[in-house]
Amino acid sequence: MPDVQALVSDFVLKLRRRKIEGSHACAKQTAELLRQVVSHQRVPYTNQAAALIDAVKAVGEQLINANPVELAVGNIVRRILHIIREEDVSSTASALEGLGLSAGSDDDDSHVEHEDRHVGLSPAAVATAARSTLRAPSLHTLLEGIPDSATVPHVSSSGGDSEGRSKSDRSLRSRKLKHDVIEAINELISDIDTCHEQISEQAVEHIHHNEVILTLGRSRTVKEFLYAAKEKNRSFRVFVAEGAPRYQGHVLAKELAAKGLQTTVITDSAVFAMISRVNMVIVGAHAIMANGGVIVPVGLNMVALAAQKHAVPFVVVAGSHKLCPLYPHNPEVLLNELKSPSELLDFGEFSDCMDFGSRNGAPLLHVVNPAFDYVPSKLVSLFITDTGGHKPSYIYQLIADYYSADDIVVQRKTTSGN
Amino acid sequence: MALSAVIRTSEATTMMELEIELKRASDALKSSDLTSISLSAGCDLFMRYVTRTKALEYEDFDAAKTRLMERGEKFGELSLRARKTIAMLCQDFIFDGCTILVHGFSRVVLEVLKMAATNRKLFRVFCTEGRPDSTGIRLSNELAKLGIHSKLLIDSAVAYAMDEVDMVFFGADGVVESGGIINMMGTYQTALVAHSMNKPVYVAAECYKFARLYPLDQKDLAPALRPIDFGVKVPPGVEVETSARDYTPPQYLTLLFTDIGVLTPSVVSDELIKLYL
Repeated sequence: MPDVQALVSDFVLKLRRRKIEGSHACAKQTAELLRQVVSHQRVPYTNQAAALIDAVKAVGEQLINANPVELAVGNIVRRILHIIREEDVSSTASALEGLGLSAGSDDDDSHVEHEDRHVGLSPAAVATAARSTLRAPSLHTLLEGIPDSATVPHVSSSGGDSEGRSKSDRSLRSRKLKHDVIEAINELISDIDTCHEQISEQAVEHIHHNEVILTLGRSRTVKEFLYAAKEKNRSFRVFVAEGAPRYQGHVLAKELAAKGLQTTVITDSAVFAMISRVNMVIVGAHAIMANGGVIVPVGLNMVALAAQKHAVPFVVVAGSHKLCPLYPHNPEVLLNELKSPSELLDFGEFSDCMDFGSRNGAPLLHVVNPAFDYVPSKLVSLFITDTGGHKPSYIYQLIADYYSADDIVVQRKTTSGN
Repeated sequence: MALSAVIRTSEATTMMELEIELKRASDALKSSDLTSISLSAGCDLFMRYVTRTKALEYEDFDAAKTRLMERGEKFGELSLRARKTIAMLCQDFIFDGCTILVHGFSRVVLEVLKMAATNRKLFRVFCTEGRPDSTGIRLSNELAKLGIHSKLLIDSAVAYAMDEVDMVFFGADGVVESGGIINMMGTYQTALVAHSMNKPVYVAAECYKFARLYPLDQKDLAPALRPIDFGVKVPPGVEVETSARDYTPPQYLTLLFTDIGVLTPSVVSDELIKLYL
């Protein structure tokens, strides 16, 4: 355990010092760290899932607090909590199956029979019922909620009650749960790794011959997306807005030109002038919020508005680790990060007017350098994730698939408390 | 809920009889107030609830009946708890120093504001007068009791005041399948003004208000007529518009707060389809 603790605090420190940046890196490292946490967590015989969930939650809270702006961290924590819950449900279901079988073999085991009668359904049905409790609440589950909550305690008690079962059997089960969870986390990590490929597979469907694509700054997902279209022998042109103040657009333009793509670099302020010649805007995102709005690199809200004005489709490409189950209550303020002014101005030249010693202590010149923009969902035409293209209004469904409702609420409490 | 009482008193011996009896009771309830959408939606939901249980198999009728009774009571309880849940969900959206415009008197919205006040949030509430039922005056009365700073506006001052407003809160008589809401007269215009000034419009409604209606325009709903007192004598031969409800299309709503979570308007239709399909 101590080495895991050291790893966690190391990671927290890195997040706090902004050593790890970009949602992809964050997501991957979080998942890897949590895999360590899970594999080092000693699980008790009863209620192993709860123990795992507690452990992950404790670590997750630290990570989220370390840098609340990196939403990907929180997303991965929630994903893993969801994985544990799902694995727990499926393992209890399979255990029940075992119980049901043994009930058939030895009839004198009245307890098991009683249990079976109560449940009165096949284990698979129980599993689906329990799984539906994991889903976001809906009208449907609201109505079904009572039988669910009635059966679920039965299921968990079936684990505790069957004291007759040998301990080895149970420890086998617990090890199996942990094993399954680690398997699933591995899958998640590989999903994060391959999301670029899966997204770019769809490139040909969206980019057509002789089209003009506009993008701003540099996003790895966008780059791969454009590469993939090029590899399928689509000939198209790309306008790259340079993405001040970091000028990552220059890097992207260089890379695209190296691949043989017709590329044009424009300044950010020229976007509106050029947008009428553009067929589609393709950009990457920092995070996708639950209402379909997106947190993007600064400058993109302007691009989105220009695109709307000229009815140009505004397409966001993002891996599913960027899906965030939170609602932006006050996006401009809460989910932004102010970067160092040195990216904007040269300190040497401007140091006179930024001097704190002049006048009444406050400098006359202020420099604000926000990292992100919020683009409301109505400006986004389409999201392309690794599971396909989705309308902004469909995002809630994806979130319901990936996260369990309990985790959203718990995490929100902890984040708002900070 | 009255319907669960029906189950309890029912002498029916088969599920079929019980269902017919329930249907009759719910029809009677609905016909007692033709205009109340939430009533009929609640009845529909309850019926759905009952018919769903029936699908689960029970060997003997008595067990099924007691189960139904339990569920009926639970349903009533759920509807009461819903308001608290909604108020909890709203808290993140009310920030210190904000100004909230409320149109109509809704117990859910009142609960939301009450909880925000007990959480020591600092905010102002603008209440529209809400003619002809003077709902705004009722609401401001309640708010004054809670010590919440509030201000009354006449209904026509909504656009004038919208500049200062940070968010608009409505209750709802009914949430329809498109994700729009049916609510007190004036909701539509308030939402339009808010939309044109880029202010978020939030609706707080319990999910038993989800109704299987799909109004295409304003005239598409059963009008709830109210006598209107103009204060002066209306000359003979002059018609008076006495409808007291309007329909607000989903594109003017930002989010719906319900007891099943914070939803965008488009989710409502998905939920309804999931339930009734």
